[in-house]
Amino acid sequence: MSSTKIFLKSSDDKTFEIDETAARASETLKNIIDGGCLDGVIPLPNVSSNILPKVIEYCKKHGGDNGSSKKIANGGVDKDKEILPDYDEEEDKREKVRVDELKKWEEEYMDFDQQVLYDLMLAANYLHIKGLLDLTVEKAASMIRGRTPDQIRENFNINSDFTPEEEEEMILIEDEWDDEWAFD
Amino acid sequence: MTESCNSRGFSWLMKSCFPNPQEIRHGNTIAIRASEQSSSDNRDHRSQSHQTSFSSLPDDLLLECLSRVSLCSLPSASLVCRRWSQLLDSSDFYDLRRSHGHLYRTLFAVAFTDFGVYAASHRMDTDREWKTTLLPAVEVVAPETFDGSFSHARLMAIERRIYILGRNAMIRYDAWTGTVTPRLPMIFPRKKFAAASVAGKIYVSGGASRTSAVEEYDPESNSWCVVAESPRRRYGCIGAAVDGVFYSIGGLKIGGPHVETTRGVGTEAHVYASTMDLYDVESKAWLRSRAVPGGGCVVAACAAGGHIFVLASHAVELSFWRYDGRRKSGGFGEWCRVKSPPLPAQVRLDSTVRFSCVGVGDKVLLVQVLGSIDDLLRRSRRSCRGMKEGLVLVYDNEAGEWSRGVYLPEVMRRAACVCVEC
Repeated sequence: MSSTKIFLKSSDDKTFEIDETAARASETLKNIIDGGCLDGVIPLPNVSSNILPKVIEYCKKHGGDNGSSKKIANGGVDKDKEILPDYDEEEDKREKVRVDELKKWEEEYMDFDQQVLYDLMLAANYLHIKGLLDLTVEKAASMIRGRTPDQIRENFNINSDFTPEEEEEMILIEDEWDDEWAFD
Repeated sequence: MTESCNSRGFSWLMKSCFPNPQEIRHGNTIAIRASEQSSSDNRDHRSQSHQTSFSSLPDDLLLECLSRVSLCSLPSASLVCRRWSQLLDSSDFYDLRRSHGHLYRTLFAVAFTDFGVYAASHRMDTDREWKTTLLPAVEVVAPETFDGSFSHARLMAIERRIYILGRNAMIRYDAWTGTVTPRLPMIFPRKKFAAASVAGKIYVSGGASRTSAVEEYDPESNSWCVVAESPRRRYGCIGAAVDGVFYSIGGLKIGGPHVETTRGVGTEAHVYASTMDLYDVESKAWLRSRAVPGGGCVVAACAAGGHIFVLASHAVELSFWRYDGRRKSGGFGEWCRVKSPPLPAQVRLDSTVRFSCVGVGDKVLLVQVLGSIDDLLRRSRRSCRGMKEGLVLVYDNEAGEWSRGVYLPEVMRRAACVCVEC
């Protein structure tokens, strides 16, 4: 099954190859594959050739599963423990290593320019790759957290379109909310 | 056959590429890309002139990003630009935060003191102390209106916004951004009136000697209108809402011989309106008024979990009652006495001790906003029990038990309270 290849065509007419199992990480591609329309090339008019390899890289890493490292760490391991009455320390250790490795991989994977971030987010949204969407959205959110309005504008290259009067009217209270769940 | 299958699959795929008409303004990058997909030779040129930016992301993705930001970053985010502030303002955003589990039941108290207007908040899922902030409320209301307007203010919450209803003024406090905005006051000046929110609107009645009007406030249009006339005039009544019914509970009868003596010493001389009036908001009709048990002096009341809870004070005791407000249940309209709050037996509350009652999910919070139980006991020549001020008592309707909450800070005396999901 893993040998079945699928061809994806980017918006700028470049063709890329991906294993079917990897492609199933995308809900959109999965639906097409399950629809029995595997013949030929799947055109992706919303994804350019500089983003598509990045998407494929993610899909390859995540194959069938759809979660990020966090999901696996929270859900997968515990579930296994419940099923296995004998608590396997070795297995647990291996799982931990796997999660750590995945986290490290995600960190390296997510090390790119902002430009790529938005395109990747759009592609993940369009191809319905939940894990990748989570990763990209989370990264954008981390650029907002704990920043002043000016810093946020600078981060995202946004111009304030409030009138000076409006800005004056805004009364920002220096709140002292705890930030403890920010990184949940 | 394969081809027809293909084309069906692709047409579905292509369809999802075209931006939603509502997103055209923000989603122009997508539109450009889809139309330019055939030209592959001008990639460099294109990437320069139509670079994807954060601002070009469609609303749903931007909302997704913003919904993961912590509460403390929301004030900053709302000041970035118009679009962000509008997105944060939308009910889509509120719903998204709820679905991400980022909404917390938070008890808010607002106190108007000589030193300023204080807001204190306490998240119900934690044991942490209350957080107190000074509200710039005086700045947004003219001083001449401000004075005396808020001595018996009522708080109403609609989504994450708190409406502070005073006699001649109203203020809106945004629990996310911390901003304070003046809103239109009620048509008739009221004091110690009943207020409750039903389906995103606020209803008030009572607290005015010259009118029996029930007013409705629409936050969208910032406007008040009279929707009904009450069957009787009340002063000192308390509002609550269950199942689309606005309840005006207890208080004193207005129009009797004791009208002008409401101020000052105890309330003994007055005639209690030991009833509550039920106004069905949707059908704009009054339902049959009900008697309130426990001697008729309603000290505090609120709605929680489909019920109305009433703390009644009588010459010999305090009693706590539950009324079934679920109109489709067989028990609709039934009263049942439940466990009294853990206060010294036979304590008789007078006007020096005041409680605010707030429904939080299925729980009822009794917040002592004024006075000291010890003083009460001392006055009736009984020994003190070391009961502090600012008690917060929590009644769990499910378990039928009371427990202690985190004490209200001292600066919050005479506060009004409300529960906000934010």
